[in-house]
Amino acid sequence: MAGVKVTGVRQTLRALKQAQPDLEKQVRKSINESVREVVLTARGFIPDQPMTGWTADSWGHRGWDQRTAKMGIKRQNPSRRVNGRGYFYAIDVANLSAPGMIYELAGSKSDGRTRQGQQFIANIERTGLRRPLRRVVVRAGIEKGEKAKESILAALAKAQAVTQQRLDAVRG
Amino acid sequence: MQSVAREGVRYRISSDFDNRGVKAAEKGIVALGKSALKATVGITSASVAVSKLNQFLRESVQAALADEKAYRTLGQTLQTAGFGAAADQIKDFIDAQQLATGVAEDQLIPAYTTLFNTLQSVSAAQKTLTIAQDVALATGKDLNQVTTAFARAAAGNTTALSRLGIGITKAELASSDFITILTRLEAKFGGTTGAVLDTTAVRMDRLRVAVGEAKEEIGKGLVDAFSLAANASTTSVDTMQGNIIRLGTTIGDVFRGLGGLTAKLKTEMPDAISKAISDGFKASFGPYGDVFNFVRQYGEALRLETENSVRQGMANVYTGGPRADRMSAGTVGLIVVQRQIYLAEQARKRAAAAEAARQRAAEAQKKKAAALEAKTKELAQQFDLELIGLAAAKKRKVDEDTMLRLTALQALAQQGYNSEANSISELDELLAKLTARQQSYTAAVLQSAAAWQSITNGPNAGSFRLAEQGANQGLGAAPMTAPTAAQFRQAEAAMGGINIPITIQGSVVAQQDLTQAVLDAVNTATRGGGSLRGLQQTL
Repeated sequence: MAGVKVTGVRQTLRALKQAQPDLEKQVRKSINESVREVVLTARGFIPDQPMTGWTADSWGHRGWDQRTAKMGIKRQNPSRRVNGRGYFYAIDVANLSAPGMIYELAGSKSDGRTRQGQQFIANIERTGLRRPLRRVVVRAGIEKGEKAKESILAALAKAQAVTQQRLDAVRG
Repeated sequence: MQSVAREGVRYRISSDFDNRGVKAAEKGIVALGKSALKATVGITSASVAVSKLNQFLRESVQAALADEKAYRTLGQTLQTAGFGAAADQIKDFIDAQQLATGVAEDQLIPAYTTLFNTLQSVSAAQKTLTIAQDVALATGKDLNQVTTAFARAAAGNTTALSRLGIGITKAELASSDFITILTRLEAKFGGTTGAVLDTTAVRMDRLRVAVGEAKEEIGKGLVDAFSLAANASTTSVDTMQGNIIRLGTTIGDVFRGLGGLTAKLKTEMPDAISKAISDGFKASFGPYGDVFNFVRQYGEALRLETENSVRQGMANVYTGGPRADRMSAGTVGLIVVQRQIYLAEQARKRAAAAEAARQRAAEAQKKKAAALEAKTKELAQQFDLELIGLAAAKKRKVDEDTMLRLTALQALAQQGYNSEANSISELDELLAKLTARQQSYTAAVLQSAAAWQSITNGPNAGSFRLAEQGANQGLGAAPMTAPTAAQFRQAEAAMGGINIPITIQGSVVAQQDLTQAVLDAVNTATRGGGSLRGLQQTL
């Protein structure tokens, strides 16, 4: 069976405790860097001003503000939970601001029920991809997500290899 | 809104880790604190994300097996519906669609199957799937959700379709048939897939699909290499994957070694020596002197050696499509057998149809001949001269007996035209009538004979003798002639008894001679048109 081979219990424990801190830091660092790339890519898709008239004066907290929309795109804390097969590791890149969500989701349910709604959606589509869920975070995830996942796996694989080496060294 | 703000729009980066390796490692650790175990799980779970190559190879095998299973299921669905011969065409269509649009076949195959099961038409399902992909891309819905809504709409239920956000009202959907709805959707969303082909996201999807296809091909090669199909019943997936992982490690080492060797040849050795080694390789391996090409071509030769023998067998019975050269041996065999069964079934159906057509033609010919024969008989009957003459004779004024005779002759002449049963019954009737009349004549004659008997031998026999003498005297030696009724009565009265003068030519020896003479006289009388009844009464 591939993976960690355990021969001596005490030596194993010592090696794992010894290995854990720095390996764990290295793994976290790789994860952070990979996810940050996705976040930055998503923020890059936020336009300066999708249309005139969509401002805080007329829309309140839903009015367009590029900085608010960009800052609303952030990484959520990773979650770990155990499922039937073992262990589920997740990181979310979320679009949490009101204008950001409006920009991302406009047109997802209909073409616009009123003439104003249709015009609004058409204006947004001029600045981003046609149709929904591919404008900001989802688009960034598709472009960079797989690479991020592979980086995380590579970091974990590296941690495994280093652990194996240290265990082999302890075993002698 | 607060909940939406909390949820937001998310893209999730996630990984599943199989912890079987972790559990095996835990068994070797006797005393381990809970926190330490958690940390161990966090690190040693990485052990199951082995090397990239092993993971790639394992996924390749899984992809190949899943691909074969999916197409086999689709093939069975088509075969059940009688479209087994179209399996290759549909495979090519799905391959082309996934490479062109970036939607993987593990989505396309279930979607196509859903549409085909409802529409029961290969071309209609293909066309509808294309429209469904446009609608899914335009509305952001899952392709499976869209095709399910289409299938239900085709069956008459448009509720799911109305929820897709396609911009057509419920009333319009309910009042339109499925073809009309499809036409409108095609007009509205057609070309959406084509319009986004150049976007980064779709390009990535398409590349991902191509990588997936490559994985399947590699996986198929691995499956063949380990003869998994032959040992599938006894070999577990874990064992197969273990074998593959070991192979992957070996392959990785080989490539690593080759790479290192090449680097050394290129960078660390003097040019002359590296050239000598390279020349040496070329001398040893001939045209395969390039080591990397040699390895690749060697592997390719092994693959073709297996596939060529299979392909040759296929060429004999099946003019397979473009996927023929990329199929595994098991799949090829299955398709060959399916094709043979299909061809045999088609031949049987053609033979049965031809036989049925022949029988129908023979039946029609028979009916036509019978109709012609009946018509011919009818015309012949109308132009029969004998019948015409008999009919004309019957129209003249004749006695009853003659009429009966004419009718009997007519019935005999018509025997050829009427049915046998009708002819027999008619003739029987006439014969009965004639017989009855003949019997009545005979009875009358016998009555007269009896009367004569009573005259000659009865109590008045003496009177008769005297009358006979008197008649002979009166008439001299002239032969006796039959008296008229008036003469008979007159003579009778004169003699005071029955006096019947009868002239008989020839001798009368026996009573039957007399009877015959009387009958002849009666027939002669009636031939002249006289009434027998009157004569009978007289007698």
